[in-house]
Amino acid sequence: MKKTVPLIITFLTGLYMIVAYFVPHPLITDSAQQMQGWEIIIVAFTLALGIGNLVMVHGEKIQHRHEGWAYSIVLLACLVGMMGIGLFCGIRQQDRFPAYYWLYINVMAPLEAAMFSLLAFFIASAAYRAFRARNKEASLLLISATIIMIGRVPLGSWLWLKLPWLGSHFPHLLDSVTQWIMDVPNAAGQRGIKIGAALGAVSMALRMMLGIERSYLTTGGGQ
Amino acid sequence: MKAFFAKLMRIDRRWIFLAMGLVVGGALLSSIVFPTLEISPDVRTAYDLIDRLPAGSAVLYAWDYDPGSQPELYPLSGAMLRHAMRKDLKVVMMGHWPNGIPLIERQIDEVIKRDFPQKRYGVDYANLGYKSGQNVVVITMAKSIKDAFPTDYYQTPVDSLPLLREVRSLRDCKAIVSFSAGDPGLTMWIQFAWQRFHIPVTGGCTAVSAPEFAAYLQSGQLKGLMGGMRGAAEYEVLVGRQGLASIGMTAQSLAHALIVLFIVIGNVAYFAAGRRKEGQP
Repeated sequence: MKKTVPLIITFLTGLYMIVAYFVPHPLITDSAQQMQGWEIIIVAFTLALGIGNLVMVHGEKIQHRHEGWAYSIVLLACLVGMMGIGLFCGIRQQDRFPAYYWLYINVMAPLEAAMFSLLAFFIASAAYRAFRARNKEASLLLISATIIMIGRVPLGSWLWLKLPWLGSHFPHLLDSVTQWIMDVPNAAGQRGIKIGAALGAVSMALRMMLGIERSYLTTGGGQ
Repeated sequence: MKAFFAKLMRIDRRWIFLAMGLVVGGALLSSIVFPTLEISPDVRTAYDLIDRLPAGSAVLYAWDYDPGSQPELYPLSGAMLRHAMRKDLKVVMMGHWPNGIPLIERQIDEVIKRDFPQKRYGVDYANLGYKSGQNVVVITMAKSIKDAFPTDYYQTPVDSLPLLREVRSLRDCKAIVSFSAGDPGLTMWIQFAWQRFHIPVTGGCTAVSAPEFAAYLQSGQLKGLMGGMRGAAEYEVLVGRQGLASIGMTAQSLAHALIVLFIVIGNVAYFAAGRRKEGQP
């Protein structure tokens, strides 16, 4: 009963939403719309679950002095601090005490941007160590990546035009090859990935509706 | 000699970090600017979509990114917002990333309040803020914006804003522009706003995610795309006001060149030191 009722709800809800997509009768679409409104509310509650989970995981880490526990204190302090400031002082710029907005613009935004910018350093290091022409496939990847990297920045076009003979006789060759790589092999691969992922999503949805996939009903993740 | 190349292959990565830091830092501090970019067809398509809309048309701009992607997407959202204001379009703003919403306020300050002080909030533009629900929010907005956002970001009922009394649903928008750093973002807008309601979708994304949109561009489901900082720089050229993206392109150019140089050195050292068997580092 504990599992049967949720399975029946899942099946009926899924079936109803599929019917609503294909049958544009107001009686069906309006109620489907109403159900989608509920989803917005349910999703909002997952935020509370996320916060609870974060507090539990890091609370346990601090309690048992696991490696890096001091960072967990910083994380929880920031979570409580930003949340408290947001709740009591407001999150908007024109609030009376725009502390949240100030912290966001002057602390959080630069920190996040700095984290993202670390990618440039790691990509450079990874490119140096791992991008090797070990075999035909790796060489192909290496050449394509180099053309894209150079072809997508103005320096590449500028250097290309400076090349003797090639630059003057085929001034758009680099741009054309770059665009061709993006439009033909890349698009073909991406299309395949997307179709595959979509078919996977449809199959997963059907499995869930038919009760074959039940991991969402358990805490352990199994059947 | 072989020993030298073998040593070169094991170079401490901190030297690589230092080289990258010096190149990027030097480029940002210097005043070197590479010649004007050639405008790519995808950027031109996106520009034309906005440019050809008659004055007074409503567009929806979605800030679907957070500060992590700010260096790439913030200049683009600024340039596109400027373009919309110049064209006298009505801009409804929102975002699917809760951490990105204050960036809308910042951009309103830097673009609209500074350069278009005659534009009035609630009449020429409005900020709806964030609502959880992703694709469901899009579907709900297609029926009624008020159902998804009863109030705007400043807690003003949307019914009291003249702009949102005219723009009652997403279907009243002539185009949707998403500045997308991932999911939820452009893909979601294409799948729901374009595919279900046929509202033209365009936008920008981080350079790393640009390749995944090639299929959507070719099928016409996505009306143009600004990929990464280059796309933003090209848009700045079209708008006629070069800003952060154009400045950043010099640093990005040199960073790309340095990475290519590292790849070349790495491979020269690899072959000179003697190739290793598959699976060996």
